[in-house]
Amino acid sequence: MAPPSPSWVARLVALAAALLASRLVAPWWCGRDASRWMDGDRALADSLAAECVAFEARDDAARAAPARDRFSGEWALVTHQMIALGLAQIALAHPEERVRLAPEVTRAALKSFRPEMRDFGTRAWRGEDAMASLAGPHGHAYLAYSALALGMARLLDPAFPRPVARQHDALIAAYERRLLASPTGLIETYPGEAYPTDTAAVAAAIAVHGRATGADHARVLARWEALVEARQIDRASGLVFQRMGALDGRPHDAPRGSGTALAAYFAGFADRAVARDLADGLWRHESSFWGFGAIREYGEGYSGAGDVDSGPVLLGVSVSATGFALAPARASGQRAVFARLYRTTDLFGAPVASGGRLRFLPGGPIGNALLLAMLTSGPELAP
Amino acid sequence: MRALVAWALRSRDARPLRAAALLVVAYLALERLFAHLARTEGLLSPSGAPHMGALAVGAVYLVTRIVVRLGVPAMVAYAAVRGVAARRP
Repeated sequence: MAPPSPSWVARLVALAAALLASRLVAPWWCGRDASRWMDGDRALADSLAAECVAFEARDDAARAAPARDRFSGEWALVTHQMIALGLAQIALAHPEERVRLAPEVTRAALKSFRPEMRDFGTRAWRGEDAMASLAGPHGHAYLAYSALALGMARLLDPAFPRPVARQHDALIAAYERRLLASPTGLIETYPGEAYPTDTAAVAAAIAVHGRATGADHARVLARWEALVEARQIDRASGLVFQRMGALDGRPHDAPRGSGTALAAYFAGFADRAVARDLADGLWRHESSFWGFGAIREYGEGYSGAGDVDSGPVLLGVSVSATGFALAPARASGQRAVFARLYRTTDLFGAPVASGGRLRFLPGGPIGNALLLAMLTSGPELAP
Repeated sequence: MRALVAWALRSRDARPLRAAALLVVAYLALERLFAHLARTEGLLSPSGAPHMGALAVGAVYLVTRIVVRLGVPAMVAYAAVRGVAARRP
């Protein structure tokens, strides 16, 4: 048998070098900022915060002008909420920033609480507004996203407006009563539908209210923790069911990564043990390739396409689950997991810095807001 | 240095290098265009309706970004090894 020709050997060696270069350089290139985010680099956090604060200023200007096409609804509520949470986390991590950021936290939180932001929920409840039905039995759990932002603002801002604080107290009292009355540890977001992720936001809002006001919510939080563990987590996968019946606790959807990752972030505000259990379920669903990591959307035995919760699902992994999982990875000190997830976020999120601001190009304001909250998660954890 | 430039411009072995350079130039141009579109009109209108032009540029930009980040290091390494091998007696 003739030996291989020198040119073929050179090609094979060159091909091996090419694969090695790609395997080493691509993860390094996409992960250059992972350690800085993990270590709480203030300049990096400030640059993304500056982009979000600038968005709020543009949004204020747009609101002042007569316009038909306003930024409102579910995405707007979440955008303002996550900006408030992200800025609050930076202020908690860097107390010297508190005076500068507290008014910005309040501004974003108050916007998330505007009635037009929750129009989608009022429509779903056939015209019943969440704040006009606090004495009623309907859950309206979607408003917990705003309630959590308001709580963080009250925690940081001594000038938080008192009339809104009274509304916030009343909303938290209603959530506490509904959660204590629930046999499943769930309260409805929409008629007949409960989302464990939204109820985790309710628990987070109650916990932060306690920290901000000194109110004792230990009983309701202990009950929520016990029922999450007993009723809402799929034992086989470790993920929470995305959607359930509020009264009977029957799953209406699969156990999914996107809901679990966001629930793990919210649970961290209320109870570290629940957050840790949810995060453990997530890490069992990490797929990694070439140094990049992503979270699979569906638990074992389930499959499906992407939807408004997960974003696109490609090769079984979802955009939302991967982005949301950055928060529990950072908060629980999972450095290697965080680095792999961040590389994927960088590759597809395309962060670009200019003029002292950082933004993730394809995500728009909601992408920047979510990543600000996820990439600075940690200081908000329950004591 | 002059020999290296001449090799990079003319040699058959350096073709991946020239392709990588073209990709990077196209990527940087697309990044500027997409950043401009994302800032001025956004991918979605405030009410959620998609801006198809910005979305199309964004899709091409993301594909180019993935190819550049994963492929350019490989193309440079491949060309470098082939170039070294071609110079050996």
